[in-house]
Formats: sequence, C-alpha cells, structure tokens
Amino acid sequence: MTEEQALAQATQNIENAKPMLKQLGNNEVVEYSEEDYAQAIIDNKNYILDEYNNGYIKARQQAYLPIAEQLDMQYWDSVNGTTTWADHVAQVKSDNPKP
Amino acid sequence: MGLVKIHETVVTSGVSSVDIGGSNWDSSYETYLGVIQNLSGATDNTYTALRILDNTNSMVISSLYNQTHLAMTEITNSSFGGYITANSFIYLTNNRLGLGTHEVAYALFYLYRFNDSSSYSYFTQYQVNIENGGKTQGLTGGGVLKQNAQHRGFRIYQSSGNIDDGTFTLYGITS
Repeated sequence: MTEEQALAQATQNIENAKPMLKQLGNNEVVEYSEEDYAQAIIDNKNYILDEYNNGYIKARQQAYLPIAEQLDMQYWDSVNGTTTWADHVAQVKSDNPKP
Repeated sequence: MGLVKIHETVVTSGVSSVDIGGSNWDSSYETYLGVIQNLSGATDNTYTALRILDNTNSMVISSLYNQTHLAMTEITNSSFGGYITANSFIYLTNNRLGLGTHEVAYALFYLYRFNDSSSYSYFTQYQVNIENGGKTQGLTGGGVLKQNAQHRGFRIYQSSGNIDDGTFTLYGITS
C-alpha cells in the first residue's frame, strides 16, 4: 500500500465519520475544527500504514505460545523426534502472513 | 507529594475524542498525572490512541514522537514484548478493544516538562485492559516528544469510531 492510497482511504474514513465531536476538560462537547479534521486524516493515514506494515507482527506476537511452553515443545520434539514446535511457528506465520 | 485535581471529564455518550488538559490546562505544575478510567469504544476491534496537544490547544501535527512499550504480560498468553513507534500518534493499548463485557482500558500517564519551552516533553504510561480476544494485558512504557516546546495535555481517541464511556482526570502534582 502506498502513502497516497492510505491517504485516500483515510480521507474517506474521516469524511464518513463526520460530524466528529471532541469532549473538552470542562465536559463541553464541540465539533472538530477544520484543523482537527485535517489532523484526524493524517493520524488515520498513519494508522492504516502501520496496520498494513506492522499488523502481522503484532498478530504473531499475540498468537505465539509463551516462551517457556515453546521450550518445552522443543525438548519433547528432541526426545520424540516430533515437529510440534516447528509446526506451531509455521502455523502462526501462515495464519498471519506478511503483506 | 500531593495531587490537585485540575479537571475531570466524564463521557456518557459517544464522542470522537476527549481532551485531557487542552483549553483547561493549568500551567502551575512541573509534573502532571492523567488518569483514564473505564474507557470503552463504540466500534469493535479498535485501538485506543493519543496525541499530545500543543500550547495553542491544537494537536501537534508533525511526526516527532518516540514511544517504547517496555513490557507486556497477558494472563492467557504470557509473553514479553515491546515496540517502538515514531509516528504522529501514540498507542495507548497494544491490542484492540472489543465490545464484550469488561473490555475496557485503565491508564495512568505522568507528564514531565510540559510547560518548558526549551526542552522535550516526556511521559511515562501504565495501562491495563482486556482486549478483544479476552486476554488481560498490562503495559508500561514511555515516550518523548522530540521538539523543544510547551505542551498542554493530550487527546484520546479510537482508531475508528467513538469513545462511548470513560472518566478522564488531570491532576497537578505538588512537592
């Protein structure tokens, strides 16, 4: 995904979300200013790019079993000649592919 | 050390963002504590993020943040991780919030040097939530806004959709 594609998607997302409201410290609720809307587009574009470029890494971090459990898998794989640990890692990678 | 409440904002119906500080900033203190309680989003599967506000109560436009999440623990999938972001915003949660019961976030933010125009602004963060997969996550971390400037708090928002609930409080810390 290019930055231009992300910007186009973000611009549409924010347009669809209008009117956007912000709640201030005194509990007052007001609509976004033009500057707020412009910044929201930039933030959403960066979020889209971050998700595209790094989302699979976060997803893999969530999916991997605890390290202690993986060490135990490796030990028993070495004893039994199985591939439980490698299968687990391969499954996580295939479930969360790099774009 | 004592805490002086500067303001408290309670969200009871959907808003796109909440300002902690901003136009209600009190520049009398050297260090501040921001407290977020019971934050929930209106849209499933969304991150909570924040952005620092500058001394005109606008959001800081340029991409000048460095943020590090130092550790992450999860009850059902214990692990240690960490990441650094350099982006136009900062993640409050390491994973997405959902709409299930108790899928809410709590957080503390200590803000340092926010009134000093000749230094960077620093913050530390402490956060816990139940994410959309049902795991409990706790994060500690911190960040630096790499810009010599005054700042006036921060804005909280979801990566998509509204914030539906939450209590947002700003304290000044006295010596």
